[in-house]
Amino acid sequence: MIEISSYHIQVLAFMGINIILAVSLNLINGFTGQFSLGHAGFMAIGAYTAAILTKACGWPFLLATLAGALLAFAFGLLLGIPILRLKGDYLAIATFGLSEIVRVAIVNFDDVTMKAATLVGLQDLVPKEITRGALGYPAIPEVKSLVWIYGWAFVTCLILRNIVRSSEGRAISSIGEDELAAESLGINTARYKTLSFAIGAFFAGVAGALFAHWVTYIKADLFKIDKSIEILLMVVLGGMGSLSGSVLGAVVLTLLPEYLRVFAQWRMVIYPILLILLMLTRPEGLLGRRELSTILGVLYTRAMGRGGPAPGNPPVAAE
Amino acid sequence: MPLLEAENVSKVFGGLTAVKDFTLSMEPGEMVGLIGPNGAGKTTVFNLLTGFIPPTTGKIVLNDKNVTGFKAYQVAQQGMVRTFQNIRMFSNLTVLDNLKTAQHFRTGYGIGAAVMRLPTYYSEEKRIHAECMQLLERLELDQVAGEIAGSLPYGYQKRLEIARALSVRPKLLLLDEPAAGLNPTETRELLGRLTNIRKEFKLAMLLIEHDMKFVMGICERILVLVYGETIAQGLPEEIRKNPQVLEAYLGTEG
Repeated sequence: MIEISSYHIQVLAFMGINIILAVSLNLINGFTGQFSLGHAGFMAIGAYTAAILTKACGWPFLLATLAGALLAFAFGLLLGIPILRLKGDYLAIATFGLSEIVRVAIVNFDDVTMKAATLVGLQDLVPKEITRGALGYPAIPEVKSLVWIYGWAFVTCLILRNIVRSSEGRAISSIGEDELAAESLGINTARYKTLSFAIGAFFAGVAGALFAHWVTYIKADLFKIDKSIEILLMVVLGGMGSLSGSVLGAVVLTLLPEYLRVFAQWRMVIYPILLILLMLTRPEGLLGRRELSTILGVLYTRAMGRGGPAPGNPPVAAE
Repeated sequence: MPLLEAENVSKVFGGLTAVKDFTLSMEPGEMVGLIGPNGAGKTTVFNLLTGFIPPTTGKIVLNDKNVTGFKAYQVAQQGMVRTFQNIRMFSNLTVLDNLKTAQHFRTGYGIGAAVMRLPTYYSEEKRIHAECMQLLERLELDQVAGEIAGSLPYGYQKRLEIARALSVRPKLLLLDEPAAGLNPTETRELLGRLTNIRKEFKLAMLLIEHDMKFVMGICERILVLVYGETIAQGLPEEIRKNPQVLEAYLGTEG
């Protein structure tokens, strides 16, 4: 029997936040097929906006979270329009650049606003410290509640599932499948790429706000490319284009480094080796493109002895 | 009133004129063939008509609406839909979802209704499902409705691409080598199918094809394109006897 300590609760909290991040990135990278490396940037926008709103402006947590998420959404929408004209590697580089800009902007925010305010003689009206630059943003009101985190994780999964399983979702998936064909069928691909990018950004913003209020101290360096890659790993490991896969990926990749702590300094040797082995044996990710419910359904029919067709059977078997 | 009117449509890539003064007028329900040797610019004509590349000069009018400079998706929404020379399937989606995707712009609910699962979502999904299943039955693909499109044999995929294009409910269908890679039996089947579809959906078709028997058997009018220029136009019998066409295809005697 494991005793539940604050350590375990912390791991559970990060797991929930990672679920939100992975599932929302999967909408962009997996379903829409637009390779983004900028998720940490949107997370930073949500984290800082919400933290400043609760601490400096006294907003309630939920409203601050929504405001942070909406700002991330707006950024996603605005920047998605020019950036999503790029494809493949170029898009990955541009989105990475985007999240670096966000990070640098946060670091230099106070300087810039103060100097701008001084120029127009408003220096007394603008607070000296907004993001507190490289020092980081401390003493954020604490909201250490798994209910909030898993509530949001549930809402994220539900909303994304409802989107994916709809006409809008089919438009989004068709872009990931073949953009030209989608366009030839009357789908405004530019619009749906931007929309999915912005929706992904929205939930990254939510995750950022939850994260900020759990750890109560954030700094821009927490939202570097490492974080984006960590989220990307969860998506790839779980399976691009499978929401339940992303949940699984987030769970596995949050727990794995923790379980490997027993290996002490060998931890960061074993962790990547395990990842490499996993990707070699299952390059399509744990669940591939399928959802857990589909797989369980197939297993269930098989277990009931009705002998449903195995996935990947030759199709033309008429009944 | 003609359904499609393309006037002097030209495309210049750098210094190369890929298509020169392409002019075509099509009536509703008409079947026109576009033939020519490899590299003649047939697919470029398709790309120009459907908005995949903008023409350098010229005018394209569809259904009394000037669609010159329209984006590809806008042209499709106006009722002109094309297929591709190399099949472009949504390979990881099911056959049924391939068709449903093509109904997207006619769907009567938005993202809000989808997220909240409003009644319009259910009623529209039901309609879309019924329409797509009907179309699949029509093209004898209903048996494989639930299969992943990429796992289908080639002939099925070719047929699915046509079904998917029909799912947009076009008035004009542009087929880029529909019979390429099919065996003689499949080609004959396709011929019959296209003739029936055309009657049933009151559809005009413009098709690129190398199989002469196929083109002559189905088209009422044929255009011959060589080096981007239309060198002949007319009834199949006329084209067959046209010395310029024979020269382009077989070379001169001697």
